[in-house]
Amino acid sequence: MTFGRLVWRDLLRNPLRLSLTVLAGAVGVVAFIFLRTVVDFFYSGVATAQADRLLTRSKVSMTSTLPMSYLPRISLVPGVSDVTFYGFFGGRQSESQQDFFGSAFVDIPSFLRVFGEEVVVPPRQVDALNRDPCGALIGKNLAQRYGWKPGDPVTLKGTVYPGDWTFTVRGIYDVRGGSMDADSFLFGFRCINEKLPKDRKNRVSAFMLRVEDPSRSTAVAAAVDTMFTNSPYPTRTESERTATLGFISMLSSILTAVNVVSLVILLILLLVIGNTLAMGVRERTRDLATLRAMGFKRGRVVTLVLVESVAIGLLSAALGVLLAPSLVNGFLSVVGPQMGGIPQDALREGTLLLGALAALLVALLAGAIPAIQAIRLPVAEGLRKVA
Amino acid sequence: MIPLYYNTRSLWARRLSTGITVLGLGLVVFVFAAVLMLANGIETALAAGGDPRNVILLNKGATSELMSDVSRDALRLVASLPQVASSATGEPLAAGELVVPVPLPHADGRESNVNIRGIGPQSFAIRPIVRLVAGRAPRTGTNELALGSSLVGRSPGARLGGELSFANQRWPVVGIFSAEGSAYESELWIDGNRLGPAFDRPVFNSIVVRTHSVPVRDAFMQAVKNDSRFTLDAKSEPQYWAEQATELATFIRVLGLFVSFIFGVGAVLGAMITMYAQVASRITELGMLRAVGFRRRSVLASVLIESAVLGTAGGVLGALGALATRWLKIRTLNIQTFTEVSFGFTPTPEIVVAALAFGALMGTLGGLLPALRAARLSILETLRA
Repeated sequence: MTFGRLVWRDLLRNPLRLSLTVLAGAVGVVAFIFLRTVVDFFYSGVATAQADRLLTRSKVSMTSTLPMSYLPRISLVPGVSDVTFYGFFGGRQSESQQDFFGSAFVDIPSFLRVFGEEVVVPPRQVDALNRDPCGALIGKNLAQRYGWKPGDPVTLKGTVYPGDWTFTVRGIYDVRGGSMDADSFLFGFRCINEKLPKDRKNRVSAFMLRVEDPSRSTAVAAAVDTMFTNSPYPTRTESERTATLGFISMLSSILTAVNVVSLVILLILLLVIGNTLAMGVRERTRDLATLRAMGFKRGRVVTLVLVESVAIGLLSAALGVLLAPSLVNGFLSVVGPQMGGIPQDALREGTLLLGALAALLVALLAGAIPAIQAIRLPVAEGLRKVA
Repeated sequence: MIPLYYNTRSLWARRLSTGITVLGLGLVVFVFAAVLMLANGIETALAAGGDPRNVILLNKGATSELMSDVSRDALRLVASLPQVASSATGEPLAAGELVVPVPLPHADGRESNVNIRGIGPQSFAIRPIVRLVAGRAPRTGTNELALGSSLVGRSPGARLGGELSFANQRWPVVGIFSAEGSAYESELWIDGNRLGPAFDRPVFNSIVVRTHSVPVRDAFMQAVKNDSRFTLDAKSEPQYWAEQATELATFIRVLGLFVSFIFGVGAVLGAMITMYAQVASRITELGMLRAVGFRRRSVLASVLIESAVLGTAGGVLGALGALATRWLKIRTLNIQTFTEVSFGFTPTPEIVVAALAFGALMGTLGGLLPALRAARLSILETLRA
């Protein structure tokens, strides 16, 4: 009997137990991949943040606005190649939490210039948007969720800007990579700006800047902030990446909790696989002793047990990786809208690989104790033992 | 009935395997209970800010103070309504308040958003739970500020006698207040008349009113809603704060329960492996029991009870572990208000019972198939094995 065949026989000794273990292992792998994806989701903005894009906000407070008159001044700062802006609108479709989506006013032409690589709009829809000041550009997911088509009127209740505001859907954008999600409702600022009281007119939440040379973005950011230091509305300019990281650091304790739970999963996995192997080894004490008596070296017996555990790990990893995408994506599509939209590629191949590797590592660790157990017992005693 | 002693002894005889299974089940129950306690902790922390006699008035359609604009005239009109209680000196207990989230730099270089509340002269009197524990209240017309107790030491200068700076101005800390663990403890309180100009806010964010009693409160809320002079929504303070907790609490609950469910499946499989092994290694024993006259259903019950004991032991372990997290305090961003909240793991008897039940259920489910198998063995077969 070859060594491979021996492993095979041992594995299939108790097919029910093997399948239960592999199933439990796969469940653990799915849970692990799921939690890693949740963490990735929060960090996705960081990974895809454009190095050449800066965000200028009010230094005073997140909710403070900046005057629109800053736009030409920022665009004259050396190194800045393009500027656009947005204003947080906070419109609601209904009172229900389920109906939450992000809404903002922008300047469509410059917005598409700055975000053109990530936000894809058919050219004819761009023309329509440019002609209609109250035209809305909505994300593909949002259009799907409510069945909105170009030409449909949509009325939002303003929370930041009280009243009912009616827009006409003129464009539907898709996203390509990048940090944008396809769940936002954007419209031209002129639509509401003219109707606002004097103290709220011509004010925006933030400017988005494009710099010519990403390696100089720190210097450009400092130049912008210096320009407004002594104005009534000082600014704070950061790269997209820094801004996202700042937001994540405020959520860090939740992310820590998720990370701790991922470790707990691996621990449970370790226990389940370890338990199965320990049982198998205990039951086979005599077999293993016989092998030793036949001249198998200790190392050989250890390898036998470890190969078995790796096989269980491999099977669990394969099944888990097979099951994970549909389960994880299904879950994300349910909770996604409430979490402000999930990027298309939330589940990465790297995460699947990590899950599989974790399962293998855990299986190897789980095999260690039973393997030691298997060789510690003197051969004669092992032969005498009745399982 | 096969005596319980038989089961506990057989579990004990296989200490290692039993221990590993109990530990696995315990970890699952731990996560399950900890998540529920955490979600509950957020709700408790935010709900603690609500006084049933108080009403918070926001602009129609606004879901939080941050998003709401209330004109200064509205305060005068609201304060004149008869349901509003009066202070010791006869002033109506109503306050127009401003809320501004500012980035507070930490000693370690990170920062978090905290709320500055621009208060009116009656703000302290309206909220009896807010009590000064050191120093005094900020005086009207000055930049003085009172610091919520959970922020003490969070930032250089965040202490009695210290000084914070934002909006190009300096703000000396003259008092520290506690608020029974509610969200107010993560706020800075400053005279609204100084805060408004500093942050360029001509209007209030909300109006808070203390009414005579709960029934009067309902009449007051109705009166505000029916009054065409206002475009205001009235909410009782407990309801308002409960709503501010929903998003974060739901996020934690959904995520946690989804994970607990997946874990649970894994743990049931683990228990099943253990119980199958128990049955397999005791075939002769079980046959013996049948031979001396125990019924099939006694054998079934015995195996089921054994795995339920396993599960309950895991439940106890997990629940105890989760209870030990009481001493941890968590600070994170409330994704709804965009400001920091500080909360703990808050256990309730229901959560502990649910955790124990979850453990027992996982054990029982895991034992079901092995128990059926044990009960179906024929006496002859088993004695021959």
